[in-house]
Amino acid sequence: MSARTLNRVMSFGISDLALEFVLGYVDDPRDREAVSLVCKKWYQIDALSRKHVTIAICYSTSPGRLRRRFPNLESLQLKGKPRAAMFNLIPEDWGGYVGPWIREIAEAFNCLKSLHLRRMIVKDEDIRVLVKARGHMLESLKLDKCSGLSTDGLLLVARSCRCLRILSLEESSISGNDAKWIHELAVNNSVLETLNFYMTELRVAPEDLELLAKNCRSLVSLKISECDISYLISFFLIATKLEEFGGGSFNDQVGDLDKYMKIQFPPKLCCVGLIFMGKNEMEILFPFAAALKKLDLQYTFLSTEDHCQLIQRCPNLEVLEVRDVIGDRGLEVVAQTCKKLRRLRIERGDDDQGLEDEQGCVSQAGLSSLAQGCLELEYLAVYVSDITNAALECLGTYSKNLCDFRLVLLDREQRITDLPLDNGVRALLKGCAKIRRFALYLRPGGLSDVGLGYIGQYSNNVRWILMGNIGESDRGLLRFSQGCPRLQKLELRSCCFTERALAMAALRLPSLRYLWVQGYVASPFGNDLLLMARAFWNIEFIPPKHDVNETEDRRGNIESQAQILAYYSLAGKRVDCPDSVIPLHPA
Amino acid sequence: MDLFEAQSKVISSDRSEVGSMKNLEDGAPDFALNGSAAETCVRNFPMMVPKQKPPAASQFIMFYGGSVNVYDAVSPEKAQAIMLIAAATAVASRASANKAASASACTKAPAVVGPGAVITAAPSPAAPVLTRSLSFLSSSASAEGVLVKQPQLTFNSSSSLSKLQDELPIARRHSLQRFLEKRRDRVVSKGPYTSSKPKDTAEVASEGQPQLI
Repeated sequence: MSARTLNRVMSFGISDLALEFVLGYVDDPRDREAVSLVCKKWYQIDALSRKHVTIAICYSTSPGRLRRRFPNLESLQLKGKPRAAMFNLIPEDWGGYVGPWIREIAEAFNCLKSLHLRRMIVKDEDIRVLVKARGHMLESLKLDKCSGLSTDGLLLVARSCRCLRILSLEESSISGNDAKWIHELAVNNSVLETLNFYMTELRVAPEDLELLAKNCRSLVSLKISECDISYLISFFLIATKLEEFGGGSFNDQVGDLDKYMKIQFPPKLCCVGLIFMGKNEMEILFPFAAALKKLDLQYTFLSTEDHCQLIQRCPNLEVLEVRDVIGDRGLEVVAQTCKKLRRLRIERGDDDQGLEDEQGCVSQAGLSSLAQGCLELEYLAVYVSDITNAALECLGTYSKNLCDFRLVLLDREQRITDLPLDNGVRALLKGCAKIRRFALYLRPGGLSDVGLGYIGQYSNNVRWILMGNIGESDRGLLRFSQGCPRLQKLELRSCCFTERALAMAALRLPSLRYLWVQGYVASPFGNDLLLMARAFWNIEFIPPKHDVNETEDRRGNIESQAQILAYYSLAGKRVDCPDSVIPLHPA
Repeated sequence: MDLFEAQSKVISSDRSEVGSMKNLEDGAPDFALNGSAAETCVRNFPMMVPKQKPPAASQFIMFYGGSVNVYDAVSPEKAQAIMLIAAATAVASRASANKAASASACTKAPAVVGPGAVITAAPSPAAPVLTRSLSFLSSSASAEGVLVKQPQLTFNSSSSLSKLQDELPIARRHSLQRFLEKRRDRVVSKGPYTSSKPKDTAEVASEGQPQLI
């Protein structure tokens, strides 16, 4: 045997056994991907030892392919509907059925302990199949923004999954009115650490929560639907290990505040988000405000001043979620007080200014203070009413740890102080080299073609981009597509690009594997769109609809524009498209 | 290039073309918009003319296999969807015909016709000769003003962009939308439990603007 062949057999001097041990410590999916490309032997070892896989769009592959490659998976995350579904832009029956995956999991994935489904359709029957096969070893089940199931399905989980440590149903659409499943969970489980049904309409009985706290002594995180928290006084006394609590609600009976003041929160509680909390009730947080690490005020009734009063007592805050009622004044307080802040989300409040505080707008002033005050910031998502290039430059100068940046310019103000934002965006991207996720939603005139070119030029690390109302013409998009070497997922909304430019950009971006567009200039017969037709590239078209009775909207007609969705797929054309989705390629 | 200028010129000069085509033989509608179209459209490319009589809903006229089919009240959106399907199946069958290395494939160049446009033969479906865009930004919207006055920038079809923005308001996250609706209900039905009062309960109750989403 020649020396060269011997080397190959020994896999570069490392024995197989040693290789397996070493690779056991390699967890990062990107490292694993690199490992699998070295040679067949390393590919096989990676395939057999891979513990977790995230499939960003469930139609990009098939359950069978996943099983053949990674038969020993312990943890799987599957995503179904496009991200735009969270904004009511995707038809409910678009797809993302988990059925085929569950059947494969039941048959073949014998090591699976953790399943996370995001924006998928999960039926009670799917749950039945899953728990029958894997219930005895399931440790973590997350149904995140899913729909299609009922409390009957939850009952099955509660009865069969005694090892469950994490059960999360956040923001899922679950029908059914009974709260039996919580009772069953409390009775059958003793190891539960996290229970989350925040932002659901599920009913909950306080006694069942008390039973849960008694039986599950490891419970550290509970997020529930609406339930007056004055009924949870006993629960809070029993759940002594609780670190996170979200949900609950405050009743409307004015003058009955004493019942809330009687609540004694668990000693380790440091992550809180209380729904409908108003100025008077927020005082119940004051005793332990200094210990707070996470605070969710998105669903509260606080004014700008209330935000200032509360936040100035929270010097240890790491994660803060608010609506823009926090205002520039509130952001000043954040900048002065919350030096450890890593994540900040500033959501969009009500457009009716009568309902929100008059001071409740965020602008360049607040952003600049924030940038200079909170140097640890890694995630910033903000809806602003006004913006300048200087504010973005400030972020570029100070926010060196920023990995995820999202800015939406609201259409409240007619005139914006400083547009276009070309130079600011360039400074931001150049200064914040770690940015991997980037969203910019402006208005016509907000970013020129030159600015769009800057985004392409300075987005070396960016994997996901959402852009709305930016650029002036196709030239901008084409310039953009010459850059962004690592861009995998691109979402465009309300832009002025033609189909031809979209197709050419899709072909040019070297790492692009997913494209979503709503609002573009269509070509006469859709021929231009098919310019990007190629092997393994699925193209779907969602024609516009004119629905008189949209379930999600009570205000009457919604006329929505057409959408294009394109993604790499090894599974070929979808076979489960509803009428509202037209697969164009493969035809 | 202003898309709408080109479009309006083209429509006026070629209306006569559209009219003459309508006088061809009037066969019974036998065009089935399903898979069977794909097999037969290697040589014969369907020619479609959505004729727009503003402001009424469109009449859709289709030439296929020597017969003319007329469909009333087809909205522009539906027409576009139908044309997209045809284009996709044509591309697919063209690709498979090419693979079969058949010399007789594609001997007849597909004739692609648009509303009021000149009839020309395009050598391949991927290079349409038309500049008119049958999009939702119809010519009737061109009168709308620019949403935001930005003197330092000029851009294509500013009116079309403003119409786009009206039709595509900034979308709100579902969870937050539900919260805001619940809050409005509480404010209207009970005494305000917040520190800020709404200006007028009637104003609050009459949220009719679709742009809020």
